[in-house]
Amino acid sequence: MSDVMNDGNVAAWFVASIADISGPKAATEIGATSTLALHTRATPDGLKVPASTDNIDNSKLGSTFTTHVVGRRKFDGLSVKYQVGDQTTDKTFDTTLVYKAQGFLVVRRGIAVTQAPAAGDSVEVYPVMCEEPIITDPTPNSIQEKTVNFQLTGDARSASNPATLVA
Amino acid sequence: MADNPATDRITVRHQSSGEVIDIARAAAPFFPDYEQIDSAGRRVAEHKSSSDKKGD
Repeated sequence: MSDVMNDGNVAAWFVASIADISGPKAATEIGATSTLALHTRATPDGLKVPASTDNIDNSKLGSTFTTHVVGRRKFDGLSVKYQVGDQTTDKTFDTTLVYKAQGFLVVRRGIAVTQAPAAGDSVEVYPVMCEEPIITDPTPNSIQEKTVNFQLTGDARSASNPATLVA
Repeated sequence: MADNPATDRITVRHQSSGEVIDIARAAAPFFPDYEQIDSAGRRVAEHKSSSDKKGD
C-alpha cells in the first residue's frame, strides 16, 4: 500500500519568529519555548488550510470561448480548532491564540508527529495574524472547543513551493 | 502564588500606534510590534518580545 495516511502524520506549529521562511530553523525557531504544537490539542478535522486561486479573464474578441489564466493565490479560512484544556501548557493555547497575535503557521505532512522537527523536513509556512477566537456553542456530551481563524499577512511557502527545515 | 507565564498578564503598547492591550506574558513573542509598559506607561526594558528565543 502506498497511500499516505493523515492520521498521526500531520503536525502543525504556531511559531513566533522565523527569520527566513524558505528555511525555518528546526531547533531554535520551530523548537522555541514559545512555539505551540497545535496538533497536540487540535481536533482531528481542526486544521484548515484552504488554498484558492483567482482567475484572470483573457478571452479575446475573436474567440468563441471564455478563457482564463490563473491569478493571485489566497488562503481565506486558514484556521485551527482545538479542545480547551486545564493544564498550564493547555492554557497557553488560550492565551497565545488571541486577537492580533502574529506568528507563522507551520504544517508538516506525511511524517509521524512523534518525530521532532528536523533538518530536511518539508513544511508549509504561512505568516498569519489571529482573529478573535470563536468558542463553539455548548452542546450535550461535548468538550469545550475554540476555533481561531487566521489572516495571511505575507507571502507563504505553500504546498506548491514548500520550505525545508534547516538545523 | 506561583509565577505562571501562561496566565500572568502584562500590559503592552504598540510601538507606532500607541494601542495598549493586556496579554499573557507567554504570548509576548507573538506581539513583536509591542513593548511592555508598567502602570505608569513607562517602557519595561527586560520584556523584549523575542526574549524567549533559544538562540541561533
